[in-house]
Amino acid sequence: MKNYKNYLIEDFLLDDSFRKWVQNGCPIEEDFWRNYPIIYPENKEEFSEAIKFVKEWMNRPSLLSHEQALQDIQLILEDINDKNPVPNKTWHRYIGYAAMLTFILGCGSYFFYKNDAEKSIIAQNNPSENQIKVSNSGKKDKFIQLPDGSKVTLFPGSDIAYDANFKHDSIRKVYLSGDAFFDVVRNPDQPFSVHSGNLTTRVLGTSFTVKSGIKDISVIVSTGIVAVSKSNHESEKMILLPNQKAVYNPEIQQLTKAIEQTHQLAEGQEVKQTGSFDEEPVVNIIKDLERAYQISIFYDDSKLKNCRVTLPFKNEPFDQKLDILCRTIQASYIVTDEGIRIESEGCE
Amino acid sequence: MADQDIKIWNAFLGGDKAAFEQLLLRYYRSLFDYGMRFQSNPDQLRDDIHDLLVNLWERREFLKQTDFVKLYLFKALRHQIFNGKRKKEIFVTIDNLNEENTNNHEDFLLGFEKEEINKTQNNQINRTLHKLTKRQQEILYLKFFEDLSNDQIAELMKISKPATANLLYTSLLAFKAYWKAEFSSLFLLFSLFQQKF
Repeated sequence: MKNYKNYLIEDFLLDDSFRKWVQNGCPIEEDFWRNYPIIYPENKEEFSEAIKFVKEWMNRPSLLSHEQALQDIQLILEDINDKNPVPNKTWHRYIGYAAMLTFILGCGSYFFYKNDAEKSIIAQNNPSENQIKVSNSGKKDKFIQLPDGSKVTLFPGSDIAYDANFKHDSIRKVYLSGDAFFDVVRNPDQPFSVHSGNLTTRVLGTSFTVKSGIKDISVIVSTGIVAVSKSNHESEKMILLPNQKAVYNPEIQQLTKAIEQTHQLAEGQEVKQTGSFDEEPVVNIIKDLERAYQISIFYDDSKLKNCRVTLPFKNEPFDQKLDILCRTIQASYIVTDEGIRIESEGCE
Repeated sequence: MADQDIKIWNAFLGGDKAAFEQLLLRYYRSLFDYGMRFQSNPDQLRDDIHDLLVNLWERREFLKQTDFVKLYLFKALRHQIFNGKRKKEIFVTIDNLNEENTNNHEDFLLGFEKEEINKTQNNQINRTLHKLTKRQQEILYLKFFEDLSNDQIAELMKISKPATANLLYTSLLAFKAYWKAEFSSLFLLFSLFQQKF
């Protein structure tokens, strides 16, 4: 029988179920942990410290820069390609002396290989046979309808490609270079993904914009939910809710989330600012959020109808507002194809 | 994700270079971050990883299939580094004999003067880890960053399951102690810093 009452930080951290609960954000399972601060209020502080720890661990940066990693990988590939492999060890060890020379030589082959690497990644995912390509070399937007009914607005100077068998593929894949706006037909059995440069955007029936420029690639969500990841790292997904944006910098291979500044909320809408949610019924707050972000939020009305709360909403992004709401009324939410579902025991 | 891994691994075993490249792209950084837990010289580590991966490619026909590529690679890396170290035993110095890391307090202070408090927070885990012994660093890394189970850790570090649980516990306590100490001195320095303005 675990001594939950006197749990110290290390006890929390060693508890697999606790760690999983924190790592999954505000999940539906593990009711126990959600209620822990209510059951054991004296131990609230250790509990929050432990959560902080787990989150810090999750966000810990790598000790190796992306550039260095890529360079090292290219050296390995070169090594295995050589017919008479010359050991590369000396270059690493005498790096101080040979730095200049290595840099100049390495630089050239690095860029050369980098392009090859991208090609090889794309070639893997992008068999040329039976592909349909559409280009927009004109000055106006081009409207395309994909075989599944999804609509694409291709901006000038952009191209997209998709498999001839698109409609029946297990994953609906589109390859994009340039900018386009997608309005995807929802089909949970057939995920939709857009590949642009080294970024993969997985969609769950939504509308969003992908801009793949020279300096960076960005995905901006208009409605629905989108999962963005670096191709080859598809388990590390960044979930975007409406008016959120992901920007990928290919040079440093970094993916960051931001709020889309120009269209922060759906036109003409406003979420009430600080202090104006005085003891407001939660259901009203939820309706405000729905309207402001054009996203569906499902909840059990009978459970939440008596909940009232004062929330300090300022300019947090949507998912943080949701988190605040959840934690304040001890609820949790999951993100589904249709929108957000809030689960709660309710308030008495 | 795991079954994608297995597909790529099997393709690599069959000699698919693009699959090998995928493996490198997926695991290189993890290998480095893991390796740094018990090989503190980054250049040496990159050499070791280089040799390991080239070797792996050359021996691919003799390798087994695996359910968990990451664990396999981590085991191989450990083996590579420790075997390498044993060969160099003749040149071992007093520093190498001592598993404990040198005190990094100067680095810490220097870092603080240059960066804002927010940025140092991000690296606090790394800084605190640096103060532990290599074995402590390794086990904490495996548990909390790579999310390995105790069984997997036991297999990887070649220690018994009870020993794993014990090491994990003591490492965590050590980490906690350094974390708290560092946090309060950071706070102190910050308030001193503020007073100057």
